[in-house]
Amino acid sequence: MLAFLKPVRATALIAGSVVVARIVFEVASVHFLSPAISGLAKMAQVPAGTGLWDWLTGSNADARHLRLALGSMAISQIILAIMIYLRQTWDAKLSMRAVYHMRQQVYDSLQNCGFSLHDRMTSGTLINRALSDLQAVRAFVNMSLLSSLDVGITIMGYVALLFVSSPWLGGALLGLIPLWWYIIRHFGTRLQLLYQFQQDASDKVMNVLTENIGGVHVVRAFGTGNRELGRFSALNEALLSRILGVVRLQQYLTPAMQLAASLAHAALFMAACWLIHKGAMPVGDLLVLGVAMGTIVSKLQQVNTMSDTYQKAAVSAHRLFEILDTRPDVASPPAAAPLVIKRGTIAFDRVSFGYEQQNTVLDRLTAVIPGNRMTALVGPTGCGKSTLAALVGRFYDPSHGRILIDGQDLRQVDLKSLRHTVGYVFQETFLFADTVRNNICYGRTDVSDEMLRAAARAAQAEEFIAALPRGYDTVLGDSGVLLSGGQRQRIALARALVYDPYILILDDATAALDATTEQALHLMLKPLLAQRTVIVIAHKISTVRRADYVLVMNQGRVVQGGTHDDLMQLDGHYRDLVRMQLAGGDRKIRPTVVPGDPEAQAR
Amino acid sequence: MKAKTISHTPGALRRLFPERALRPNKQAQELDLAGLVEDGCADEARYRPVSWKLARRLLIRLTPHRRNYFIVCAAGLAVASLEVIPPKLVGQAVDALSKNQLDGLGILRIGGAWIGIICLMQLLHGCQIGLANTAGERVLSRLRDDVFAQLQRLSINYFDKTHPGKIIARAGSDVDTMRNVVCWGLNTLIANAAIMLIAGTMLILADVRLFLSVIWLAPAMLGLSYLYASRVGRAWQSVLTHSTRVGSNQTENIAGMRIVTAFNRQDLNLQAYNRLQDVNTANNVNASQLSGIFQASLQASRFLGQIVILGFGGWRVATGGLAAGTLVAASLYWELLMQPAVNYGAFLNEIMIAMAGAERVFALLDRQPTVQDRPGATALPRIEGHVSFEHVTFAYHAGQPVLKGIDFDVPRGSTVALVGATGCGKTTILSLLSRFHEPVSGRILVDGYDLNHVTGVSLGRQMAMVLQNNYLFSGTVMDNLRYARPEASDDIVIQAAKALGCHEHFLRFKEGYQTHVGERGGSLSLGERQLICFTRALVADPAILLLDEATSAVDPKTETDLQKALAILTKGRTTFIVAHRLVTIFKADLILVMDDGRIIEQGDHTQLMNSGGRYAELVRHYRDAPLAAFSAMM
Repeated sequence: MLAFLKPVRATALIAGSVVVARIVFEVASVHFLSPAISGLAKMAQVPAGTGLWDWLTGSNADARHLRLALGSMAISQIILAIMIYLRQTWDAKLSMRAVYHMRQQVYDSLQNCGFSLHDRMTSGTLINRALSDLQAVRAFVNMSLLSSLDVGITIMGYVALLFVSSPWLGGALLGLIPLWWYIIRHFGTRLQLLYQFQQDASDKVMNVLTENIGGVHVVRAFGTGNRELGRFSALNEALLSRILGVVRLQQYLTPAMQLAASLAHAALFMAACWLIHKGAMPVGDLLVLGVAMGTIVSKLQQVNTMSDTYQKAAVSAHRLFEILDTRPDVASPPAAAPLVIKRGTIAFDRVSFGYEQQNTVLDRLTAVIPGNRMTALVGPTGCGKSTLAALVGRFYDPSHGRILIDGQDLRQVDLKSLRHTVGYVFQETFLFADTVRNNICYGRTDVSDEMLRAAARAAQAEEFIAALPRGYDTVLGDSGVLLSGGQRQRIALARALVYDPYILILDDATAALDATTEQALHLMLKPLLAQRTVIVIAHKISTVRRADYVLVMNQGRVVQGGTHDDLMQLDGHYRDLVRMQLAGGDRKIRPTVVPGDPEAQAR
Repeated sequence: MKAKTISHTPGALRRLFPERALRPNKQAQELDLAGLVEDGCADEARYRPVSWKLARRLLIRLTPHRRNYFIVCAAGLAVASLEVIPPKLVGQAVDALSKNQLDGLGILRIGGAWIGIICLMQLLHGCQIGLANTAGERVLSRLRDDVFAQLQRLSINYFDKTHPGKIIARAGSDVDTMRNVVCWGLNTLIANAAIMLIAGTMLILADVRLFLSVIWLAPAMLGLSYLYASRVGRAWQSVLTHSTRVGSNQTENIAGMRIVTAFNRQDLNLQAYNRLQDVNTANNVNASQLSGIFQASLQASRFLGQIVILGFGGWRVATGGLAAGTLVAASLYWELLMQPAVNYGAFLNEIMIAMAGAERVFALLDRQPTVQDRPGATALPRIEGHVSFEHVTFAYHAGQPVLKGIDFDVPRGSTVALVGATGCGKTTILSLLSRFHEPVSGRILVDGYDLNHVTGVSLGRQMAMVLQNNYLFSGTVMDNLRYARPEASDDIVIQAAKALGCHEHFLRFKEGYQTHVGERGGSLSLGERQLICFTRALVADPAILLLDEATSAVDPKTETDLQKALAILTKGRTTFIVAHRLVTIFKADLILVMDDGRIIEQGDHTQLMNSGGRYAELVRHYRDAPLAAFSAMM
């Protein structure tokens, strides 16, 4: 876990020295307390009429001694105050800088590690790791790393201080420390266990609450509110009893632990009195003893929290390293040449691929997608259309075979140039919680207003964007304006158009559009897409018909290829597919449904 | 659940130079963060100035436990008075030792007295912990119950409008923020005032002039402390608000991974992320510096007092006006006197945080449900399912009507398909029927009973709803199937499943009916979840069934199963379906074609096709887009 500190070594060093310096001055100022008090105690009397100033500046040896002690105290205290300030500042600097690097690393590996990690873990899990696990490591760096240094050195400092005044007292204190430590750890562990129970009970309560919010319609519709209330109350009651269990332990534990410390303190106090009585120690050391005892006990109490944050952080760090150590599954070869586009023809040469090893999605698929044309990919759900599309942009590499664009193997060309060539509009539209403008311009930084508007117009989005409260500057998303599925798809489309890729892949990208909009959209897109390679994954026959070429997929292979008309002439998958779809899932009533169906007439 | 009081750790000597980290809630704030991001509560204030109205409402909630609180405060007073004795003992010891008058017996006497006081204080402290936490936790537990009960009362529109994270926070973190104040607030207030008073008195008794020489520092420190609470609190609030952005940026980047990759944005995004981080770091360091300045100045001003006491007092000792031991005691009293002033800022901070939580919780509790049973509402008897709408209008927001005069009459047992473009009011009709909302005008009658005048529970029992999102509760498949009728035996449930043809499906799950569905049914496929919802509705055996057909495509085999199950489920019940599949619409007894809050055509498929209106036109259009959701065509 300390590996996270490597990039901030210098800061860590300074922060560490500040901690040590602070303790040195704290111990020093306590050290001067003793001569000050002792000086006061055996102060020679001065005449009753001596003024404050005269006394302070007088040449009496005792007064000088006292002045010295008070002065040193004052100076060390002033420095201590500065050190407290520095400690705060450097503490924050260290933790923030360490976190900065951690975050940057995690962020970067997450966006560059490729998709296999994202497929393996849900985004919820990844988000959890990136946030909570990082938070746990951070909490450790922030609260416990310097604190543990602090605790160790403080204890050493005070023990040393007592040793100076009396080896006996110092020795006794040294003997007591392991004892306290043991007591605190022992009960701390028990308390930890009870807290765990409490946490479990609390999770259950929160679970019911969450379910009742997510499933509120179901609860209301079935009228089960009272039952849910009963369930919640029962769990809430269980939580309360868990909490009270902790309270019961604490009401004995906390006083008992403090009592142990205070009793030891009282005993040492008595011993110190005896030593002073015997003349083996100055009076002022009574106060030094008090401060040392108090500080050490309060420091020891932090040990539990620290070991707790350490354990949590260790688990989290392990999980973070799992992410950081993930090698990108797709990378540019060194000194790769950029992709050179001639016609944008895509060739698949015996391509096999599976998200997991045992099941193959694409099975020795061979096909050519012609350049400068629009190709429709059709086939039943799960036949591998979207996977094929993902391979073109090299989101994954095939396990066997190769993919060529204009004769260049994707694995040999520069990845960035490839991704600049291939643009996507995905089935599930993802928009960022940002303005409409920034969403559309997402792929490029050099977009003029005209380009923006032209893309929006072509994507049939201009009209509704203009109607948004702040037009292109309207913020979308959770805290902003919510758009309908069709509107979101059109923004995604505009985003792809602004990106201006030579190869455009539309993965069911118009599913949420109504028929009129879709028709208008295709009219607008036609000239824009003329000199490009376009791959359309679609279910609507109307969309498929607009393509120049159709590839029919089934079970991970391309089974047919040709134009719509050609394929309709053949007895094959495509015709079956079209017929089955036209039946609307129920052949019996089909004839009454669609009286003008050309196919029904053909029969 | 920390039994932590603010100025309350016995052992006065420890206070001479205590290293009290005045960083209240910094840790809590930062740890809370990850949760906050998910909760979407980042925009909510974490601090709120003290409001007497809120404080009174909180106090009222404490009154059932007044006996506990009374004892806690009495014990607090006792502890406060005991706190001043150890300094006195130390003073005596110093005096006696410096005059060499302390023998073994004397040491034992002083030590014994000290030990006695320690024991007594810890005994009292133990009682306090038990009583205060028990009472406080009961108050909080009661609050959670009340919040949940209130959630069950509130109308659906509250849930539609409010981010779920915020609702969860009401019963969760908002209640938790009040913990320290509810458990210990009163005691801290009273005990701290008592300590200041008693320590001040002791200081006066020790030496009036000494008291006067330092007491002017007390208001200065209180002022500093107050400044600290308001300034530093605000600084941390802004840290919190901004650092949430760092988290949500990361979240978004993970969720939008495909877009990020496809658009080659990695480098730009990292830069943007680091810019957010820069601001976050700067904010954090600023706030830390600010709180460092305050801590240092608190420390310095307290120490100034010590120097004044030792210097001025030293002169008094030297000129014979004061015993050395009294001076030592006075310096310890000063520490005692200053402790509450130093901690005042932290305490105020906690109160302000608790106030912010209390304000939100009470606002929720005060909210009036928009739909509730009228006084004198009757229970709906067993109904047959004859439903009619009479001139029903409805608006979610005044002035934007969603339904503009809906009239229809459905005889019992028929299936009604609601057809129309998104936003035309189909789903609203279902919502009104299930009384999630009440019509603005007009009446909805079920078997002749006006829905506005029946009890919600009696209606809910006879109505079932299957929604698009297929919400399942955590638990087993069986638990979910009998959700509406927990008393239903396994046999009844299995029979229902068999009737719908789902039995084999359920048996194929890993552990059959005892398979855990996981949170929100995550481990099941869409089609499977829908089958469970259908069966759940059949087990409920409602007279009226409301169904929002799923738009998402499922594989053809499941699709056929779903259609079969649906046919059986709707048999003999009045069914309203927001239909997306053509095949569902064909089979309906009545089709309501809606447009912009009105019914523009109604009749069965043949009638509507023959009339050659909008519906006929749509169906003809449909052959062009066989797999598309029908509603998308409108």
